[in-house]
This record gives sequence, structure tokens and C-alpha cells, in this order.
Amino acid sequence: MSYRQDSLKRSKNIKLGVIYLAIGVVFYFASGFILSSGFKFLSFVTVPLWKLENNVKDGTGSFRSLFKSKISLEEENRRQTLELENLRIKLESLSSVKKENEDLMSEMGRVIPQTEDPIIASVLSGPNIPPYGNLIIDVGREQDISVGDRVVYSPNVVIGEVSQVFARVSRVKLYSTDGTQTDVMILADVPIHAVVKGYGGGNFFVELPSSVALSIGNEIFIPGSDNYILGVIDNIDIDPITSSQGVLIKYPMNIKNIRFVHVIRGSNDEYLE
Amino acid sequence: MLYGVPTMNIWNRIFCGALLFFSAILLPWWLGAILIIYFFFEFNNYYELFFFGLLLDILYGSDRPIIFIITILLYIILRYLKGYLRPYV
Repeated sequence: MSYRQDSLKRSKNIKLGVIYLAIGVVFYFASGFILSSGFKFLSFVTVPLWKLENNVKDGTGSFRSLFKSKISLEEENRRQTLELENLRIKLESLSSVKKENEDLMSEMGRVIPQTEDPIIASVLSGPNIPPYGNLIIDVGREQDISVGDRVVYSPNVVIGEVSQVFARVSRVKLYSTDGTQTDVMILADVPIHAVVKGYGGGNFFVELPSSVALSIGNEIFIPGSDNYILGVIDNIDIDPITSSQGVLIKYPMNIKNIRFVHVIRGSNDEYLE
Repeated sequence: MLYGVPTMNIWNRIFCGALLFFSAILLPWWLGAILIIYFFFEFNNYYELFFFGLLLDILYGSDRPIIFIITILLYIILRYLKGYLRPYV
């Protein structure tokens, strides 16, 4: 009796093992199709829920302000007005630098293709799940979004590129996704070309010789005529034994709090490996 | 027992499944993971764990079901733990 029960249990386990193996093989070969089809199917439920979540967050934000004192609201208003004015001045200077750059390029005979066609997109879901570093935005094929379009956080911080496009939503792969390598230009005493590696959570890492003079706050650019910023140096760790320095780079804003981005239609990022 | 109702009640299980579905969409991932572990010990043969991992891969992943593979490993570990802890409950 005991032998028969053990035999039945063993055969059941074998059948279960075969089923699990079959599922594993199917997923290994067809995972891309299953995941993208699943997203298309689920987006009818998830996209409205994400939009509702964002609306509720906006609503509770204004509800919380009811409990703030008038004085603290006035101070916050004053501070934000000042910050806005500083940003406006910075943006104007950046625009004039960009214009000057374009004029210099034309004088040198280099034609800059006017292909940029930005569209504002709302971020439905942020990079919440490790190890994934993706954003879901509310524009897709209907708005002429295509794979490879660059995604920028205003005014000139490039954060990633579109990796999957559906009818009305798209998935954006962040450059800071764990393992992603990106060509950059570091403005030190002399411009340095390097390849930074994404560490997740808006962080990048690169190892450089310690002879390179860097300082915290140096900006990191994507090479090209657009001068998009990738991040700023946040920490430098010099290793005297190997004569190298580990440089930690971060986005200049908190990537988990962004609500709106610009998608540059028609752009194609050549520097994402 | 879940809120005084026998745990094998199918409606409880459906409610918990729906809770997991909405937690994957709206709540932080670690909250869903805590719920998964609690429900695993509460119900028998809790295969909804695989659907939770697959849902996270579909919504937030790209081309490889990494979280689904992690849920398979988690299932094996939790199943062993459940069998080990059962005599002591």
C-alpha cells in the first residue's frame, strides 16, 4: 500500500515537473511575444487605473495644502516663484548658447537636420520595480511615436528612449537601467569620452583614471549637436592602489517623481548599447 | 482562517486574487510581495503567485520574464518552508 502511494506521488511529481519544464521552454522562446501581447490586453484596465491614480495623487496634494498655514503657503509660493525665475534665466541662456552653437556649425559647413518634433507625454507609471527601469507614457503609435525616439525631461535632460510602442501608450527604457551602457562626454579640464553603466534608480557609474580632474557637479553630456545632459557627478571615489576613480553620476532630478516628459519624435539615439 | 471565514472559501480566494491584481498595478512591489507570502501560507497550492510575477513582467518588464523566474524559485522555497513549519502551527 505504502509503495503504491509513493509511486503515485512520484508520478504526480514527474508530471508536474514536465509541465513546469514545458512552461519554462515556452516562456524562454516566446517571452517577448507573450509579454507584449499581455501588455496590449491588460492596458485596457491598467492605463485607466494609472491615470486615476495620478488624478487622485494630484487631488490629495491640493487637499493637503488645506491644512497648511497661510504663512507657510506664502513662503512656499515665494520660494517657488524665485526658483522659477532662476530657471527661466537659465533656459534663456541655454537657448542663446544653443543658437550660437548652431550658427557656428553652419559656418563650418555642417548642416543640422531639423528633425526634432517634441510632444509632451504624461508618465503613467515610473521605474518602480527592480531590476526594470522603464517608464510607461501615455503617447503611442497614434501620436507618431516610434521605437528609438529620445525622451527628455524638460528642458534638456535626456532620460531614455522609447523601447516599445503600442497604440496609445509606450514603454521608455531609461539609460539608468541596470546594465545599460551609454556613450557620454564628460566636461572636465578637457572633454572626455567615456561609457557609463546604468545602476538603476537614476544612477550611473564609470571608472576613469585618477589623473582625470573631475569635480562634483560636473555635467555629463550625450555626444552630438543637441548637448543634452545625461546627469551630474554626485560622488567621486579615488582608489590610490589602482590609480583609478569611481565616479557616481545621477540624474539632476528624482526620476521617480517626474510626471511629464518630452518625446522627440523622429530622433534616434545611436549611443545606447 | 481569514476574517473568521474558513480559508478554503473560494470567494475569499477570488477576493485575495483581485487584491493582488490591483496591488501589482497601484501599490509598491514589496507590498504585493508581502501579500503573496501571507496568502501562500493561508491557502493551499497558491499558484496565483506565478500570475503575480507574470503580471509584473508584463506591466513593467521588457522582453525577459525575470520576475516570473524569481517567483518560480520563491514558490519552491515557500513550499519547502510551509511543509517544514506546518507541524509547528
